[in-house]
This record gives sequence, structure tokens and C-alpha cells, in this order.
Amino acid sequence: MHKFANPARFTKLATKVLPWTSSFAAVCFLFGLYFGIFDSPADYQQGETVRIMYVHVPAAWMSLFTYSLMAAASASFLIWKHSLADIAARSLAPIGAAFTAVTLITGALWGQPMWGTWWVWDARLTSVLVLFFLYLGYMVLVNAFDDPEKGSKAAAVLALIGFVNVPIIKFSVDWWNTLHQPASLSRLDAPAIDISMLAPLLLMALGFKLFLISILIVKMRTILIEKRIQAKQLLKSG
Amino acid sequence: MDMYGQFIWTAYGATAILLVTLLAYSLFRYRIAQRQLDELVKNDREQGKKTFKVEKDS
Repeated sequence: MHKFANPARFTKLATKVLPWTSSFAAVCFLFGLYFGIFDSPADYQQGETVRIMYVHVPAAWMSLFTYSLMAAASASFLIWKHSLADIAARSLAPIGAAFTAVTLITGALWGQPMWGTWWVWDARLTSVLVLFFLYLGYMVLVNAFDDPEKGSKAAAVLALIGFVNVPIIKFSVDWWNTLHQPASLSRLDAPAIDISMLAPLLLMALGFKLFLISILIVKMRTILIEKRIQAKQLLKSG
Repeated sequence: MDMYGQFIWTAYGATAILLVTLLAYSLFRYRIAQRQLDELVKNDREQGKKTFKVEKDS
């Protein structure tokens, strides 16, 4: 892992990986959307609104996955001082915030016809809202200091403290009595979902994951270029 | 789609808007940064050539 903490090696690898991840993401989205919207059956309880799940559930998974990555990158930055880990964490925050926003918006759009309300202050919904604020807080804190190193350290500490919220989100439906339904897929026994619905769900989830990797690469490369520009300008002025 | 079609299309539309905006903004920033760096490298190279010529002439 430490081998890839070198910016030059990362750029070389990223250039090779990016065309593949972005093309496969597009293919997964195309097939996932087709099967999700046109080919999969309506649910016997939720009716057609089940189709919202094909974007809501992958976005929710990705919001948690992105935060876990951000916390791991922050830990790596604090322990080993890898600048690339800091760049990764900085790049992950807006992507995670976007996924969490998608989760909250699509959740509300599913909740209105199914529960008769856009929002309830139950444990799952509230903890996801906290996750959204954690992402926003990270983005504000990382740019709040004149010294970027200080901003990175403060934001990394926030990311690590906020990681407590991840298991709370995951197990909130088991620990508390919530309006939100319990997990259907990540159960220890067989998933409580038919293959005709599971296929578009997994395709969309793969599409979201590949989209995350692609955007992450683009954002990390942008920050690396901006750092090079800053270094060149400093050299000129000095 | 049944009577809930508007909720479904709004959900897909909102997702598309958010993800496409994220993608477009990331690519836009990357393009700008890359262009700035290319210009700096080009200027450095030209400056280097001039300095080399002055040194050679003197």
C-alpha cells in the first residue's frame, strides 16, 4: 500500500485505470437503469416505487463506503504523514457528500408515497443526516486554516471521530425501533430479494462504485497538479 | 408506471443532476489546472532557452 503513496507512481497507475473504470461505470449504469426502470417487476407491497431503491440503496452503500475510505485515508495521513492519503481524503469528501445527498433526496421521494411523509426523525434517517453534516464539516474544516497542513490534521481528526457514526447507521435499524426497514441484502441468511430485483440493484451498485473510483482519480490528479503549480509559483517568487 | 411515476422520475432526475454536476465540476477543475500547468511549463521552457542564449552570447 505504501508503494502507491508516491504521487508519480499514483499518476502513472491512475492514467491506466481511469479509462477502464469510467467506461465500465457507464456500461453498468446503462444496463442497471434499463433493468431497473423497464425490465424488473413491481414489488407486491411497494408497487412501482420500488424502482427508487435502485438508486437509493447503492447511494446509501456508497455514502458509508466513501466515509470509511475517508476515515482510513485520514488515519493513514495522521500516522504515516502520507500527503497522498490527505489528498485522497480531501477528494473523497465532496463525492461522499453527493452520495449522501442522493440517499436523503431519493429516500424522501420514496418515503412520501410509502410512509405518507417526506421525513421522520428516526435513528436511520437522523444518523444519515449526521453523516451528511460530517462530510460538510470536513470540507469546511479542511479549508478553514491559512496553513493547509493544520487544516488537513483538524479535518482528519474530525473524520476519525465521525467514523463512530458509520456502525450506528448500519445497525440503527436493529438497535432501535425505526420506521426504516431492516437490511434486506446484507443478512447472514439468504438475501430477502428476488434475483430479478437483485440484478439491477447490484449493477447500479457496481456502477456507483466505479463512478466513485473514476471521480476520485480525477479529483486526486487535479489536487496533485494544483500542488505542482503552487510549487512552481513559489520557486519563481522565491 | 402508476400514479407514483412523478416520484420515481424525480428521484432518478435528482440523482442524475447531482452526479453529472459532480462529474462536470471535477473535469472542469482538472482541465483548468492542467492548462495552467502546461502554460507554466511552456513559460519555464522559453525562459530557460532565453537564459541559455544570454549565457552563451556572453
